[in-house]
Amino acid sequence: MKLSHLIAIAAISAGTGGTAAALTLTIEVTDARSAQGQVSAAIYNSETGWLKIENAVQTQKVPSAGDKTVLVFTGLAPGRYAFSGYHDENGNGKLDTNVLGLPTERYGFTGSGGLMGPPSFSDAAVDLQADTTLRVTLR
Amino acid sequence: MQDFLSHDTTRRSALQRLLGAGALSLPALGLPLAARADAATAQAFEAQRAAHPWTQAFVGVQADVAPMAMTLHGKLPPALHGALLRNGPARHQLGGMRYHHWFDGDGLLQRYKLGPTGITHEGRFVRTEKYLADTAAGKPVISGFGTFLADGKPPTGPDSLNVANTSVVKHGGELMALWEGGSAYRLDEATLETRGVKTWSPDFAGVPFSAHPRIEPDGTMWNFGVSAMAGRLALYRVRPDGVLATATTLAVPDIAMVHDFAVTEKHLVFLLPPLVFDVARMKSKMSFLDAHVWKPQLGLRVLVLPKDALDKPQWFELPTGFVFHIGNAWEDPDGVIRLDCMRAADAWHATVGLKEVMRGHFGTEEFAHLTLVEIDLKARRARQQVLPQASEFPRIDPRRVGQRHQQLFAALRLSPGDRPGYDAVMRHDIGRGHTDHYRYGADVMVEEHLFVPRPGSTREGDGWLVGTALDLAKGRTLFSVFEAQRLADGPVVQAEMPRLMPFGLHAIHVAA
Repeated sequence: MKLSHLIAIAAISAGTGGTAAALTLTIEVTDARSAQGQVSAAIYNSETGWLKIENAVQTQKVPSAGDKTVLVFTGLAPGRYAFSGYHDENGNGKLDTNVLGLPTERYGFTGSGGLMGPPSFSDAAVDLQADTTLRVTLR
Repeated sequence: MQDFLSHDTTRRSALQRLLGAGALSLPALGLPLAARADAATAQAFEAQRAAHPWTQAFVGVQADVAPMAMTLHGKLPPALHGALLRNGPARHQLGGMRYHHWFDGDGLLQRYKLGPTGITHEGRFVRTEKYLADTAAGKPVISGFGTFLADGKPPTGPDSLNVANTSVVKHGGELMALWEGGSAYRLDEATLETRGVKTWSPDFAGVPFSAHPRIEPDGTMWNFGVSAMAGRLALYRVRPDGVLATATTLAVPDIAMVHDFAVTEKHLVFLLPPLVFDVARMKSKMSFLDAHVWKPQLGLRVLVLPKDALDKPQWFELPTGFVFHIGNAWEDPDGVIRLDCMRAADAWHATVGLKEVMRGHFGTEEFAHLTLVEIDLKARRARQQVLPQASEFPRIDPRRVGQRHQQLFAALRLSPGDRPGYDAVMRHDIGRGHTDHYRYGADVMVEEHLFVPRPGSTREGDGWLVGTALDLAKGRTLFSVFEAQRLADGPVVQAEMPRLMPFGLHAIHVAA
């Protein structure tokens, strides 16, 4: 794990694609409401495990930087990945919802799906074959 | 007319007629399909403007409205000193893109400041999330109630579409702009600046809080909110000091579009027109409005909830119809609720007519008529009497909310000719069946007028009827004060200004 992490960093600094064994997915999370709390996120690699945190490939919690919070997932094998994250503004460790079940904190996914509720894994997934940076706009 | 699809067909064929008449040249625009509809709406509207002066009321404004002193004829009663605040959809297009439905325009809070030296008018847009995002982009980027943008930002919930454009309330010392399907927006009363959404409790953050709260004489405010996606009706009771006392939700089968409700001494009363939300339509990328289906076979359902048992609904049924507004309701000792509302035969105005006006077209379908409803809680039946007055924007003496009332004030459609809206105001005596009215004239489009009680008096209807109207021929906005019991005498005070404001919705009077 440590080696692949180093390789990923080397790849970034060299400005080239990653190696086949250890890619880096960088997610720039924008449109947080504030710099309070943290951005909590996970990436998944299958429809069956999608949005079940115990099935996540990796998880991250990063203090919210407000306008743009950067999350870096490293050491990833080539393949399809989907990102799900939310801004845990009050730091209570969960995506708060109202009495109707609608989120009251901002959340976001890769891809453009999810017009009504979360997108499917396939709508959110991206094919990772090189080090990649994506933007996720919270909503 | 039997279902929503036939309405839609009507609209499409109207568009085809326009295209056939050469009013539009879509291919020349070179716009992607989704965008083309909005530019086409703008072009259709422009093509109609010269021939139809009424379209001035739907042009809209693009920026906050600077203060202007009105020319006052007469002397304002000191009891009216303070302000009349009116909300309404006002930014109907942006970046050449025009909304498809009147209700999509951003809310403009207009203030008529009433003082000893006269009346000053100004207006400020509510800075909703949608207003700010659209403004930053220079075009609509978030879908509206009746306009779906295929390339728009995905909604996060009801407040994504919230334009805070329907009414205004002052309660517990707080001024709020209201919309039917989302949160209230808090405003600074001194500057009209937007402070942000109102959160009644963490559990009810972002839950709809309708534009028609009912404030009882003791200051208790009741309200509701329809969550179409969740199929639930939210219910709120707010103490006179503005603190939430009760909030709950109730599952409602075939949840309908509900704009208004009524309170009585013991009950809340909802009229559910059979304009029913269909989640599958929403998922297939229709506008929120177009995701509703007209199901006349459901009739017009009446939901009565005891105030002390909000989870114990009683259901009644009236003949199919559509209702935006209720005047008031009260119950007699025999357990009969008596309610008055403005009822139309179907939802044509909501689903088609208010789209047509955005394209400069006026349809002549049937208008809403004053209708008296009796709901007999013991005999478990409801019935209605439809009266001849074509009218809207019903208001009563606010001291009678939920209690027996005899007088109803409203905008009246007498004979404005081939244009939308109202040309008169009326007071209808419900007990005697007598109507007193004043007709402004065919060239004047009458906005909602409201009753302000005379201080020191307790007699129902003793006070003034106050409201605004758009003089289409002269391009002026009028502000009128009537002795409420003598409307036919005409305004006792009138002011005017040489600018025509967008036709607005609901208003309140705030004493100085």
